[in-house]
Amino acid sequence: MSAEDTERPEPTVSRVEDRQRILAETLAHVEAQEAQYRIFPATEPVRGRWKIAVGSLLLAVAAWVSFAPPDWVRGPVAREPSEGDLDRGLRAAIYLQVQQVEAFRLREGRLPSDLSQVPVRFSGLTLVRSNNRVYQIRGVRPDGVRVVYDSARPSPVFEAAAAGWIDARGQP
Amino acid sequence: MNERPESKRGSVAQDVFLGVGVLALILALAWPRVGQAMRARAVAAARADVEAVRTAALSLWEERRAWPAAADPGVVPVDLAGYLPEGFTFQRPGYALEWERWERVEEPPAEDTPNAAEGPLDSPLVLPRDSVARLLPDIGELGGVTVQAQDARLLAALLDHYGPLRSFVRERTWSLVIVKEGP
Repeated sequence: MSAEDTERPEPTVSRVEDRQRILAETLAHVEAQEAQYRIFPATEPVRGRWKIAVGSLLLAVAAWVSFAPPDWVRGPVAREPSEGDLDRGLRAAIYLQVQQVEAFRLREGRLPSDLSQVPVRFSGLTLVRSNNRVYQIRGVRPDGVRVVYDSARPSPVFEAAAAGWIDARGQP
Repeated sequence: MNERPESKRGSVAQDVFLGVGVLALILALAWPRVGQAMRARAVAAARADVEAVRTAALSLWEERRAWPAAADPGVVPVDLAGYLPEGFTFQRPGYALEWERWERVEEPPAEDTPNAAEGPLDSPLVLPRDSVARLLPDIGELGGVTVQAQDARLLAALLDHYGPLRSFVRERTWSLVIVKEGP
């Protein structure tokens, strides 16, 4: 037997038990490594949970502020014309309409048969002639109440509604 | 330590959710103020438009001693065009302007009529102070600027600004009455 023959490892045949053990160890190692990536650490959901809670709270407050804003958010609310404003406006319009009718009468020497004959006609107002000299201008308030100007007995409330520009003659 | 993809994805979703919440709250708090600012701007624009028309009409009246002819809503009166700013229009977003001219029966001034206490007109001793006094009513004219808008709050704001003695609101229209002495 030569020296070379003594240094060369003697070929051996592995045993089945050894191969199965090594394979089992390898698979267990791979399984352990995979498990580390597959499962979240126990602390992860706890760390982000407050964001969900705070976000939900903010959304709830935003919804409340949007649909039922408190006064400090809404601020001063712009008002709409009151019933008094609209009532006075109707009387002022009736007074102006009366002026158109009276100007027509002064110019033509007769009453107009209807408001389409006068230069300016306010919507919603009607002219009702009682006779050749007496007439009514009728309008209806938003709440359904009828307001009537009777030329035979003119109410001062109509002139009062126009007092501002009657008194303001000559003012710019 | 390497960041795990699932963990990172979950954290980003939580951050986005939190950000959406913050953004929603900011918008909810700011929206009323934005609305108020827009309304204030619209009211200021309407007031400026009304003033422009009023000033133009008064300028024309000073020259001609007559109001410009009325025009339909949203239409610039022909007489008034030269007195308005360049490119001025009566049709605005949210409202329309209109120039009105109303007739008015003007009674003779009280100081021109004979005083009943001084005696009858046919008395040789008592004469009217002015022998050419106007004893019969005359037809005068009022000028007017109207704003037609669906937004009732805009009309109320104009009424508050100009006051109920010079203006009035009716239906969806606010009207400003402009008075000048006749020629």
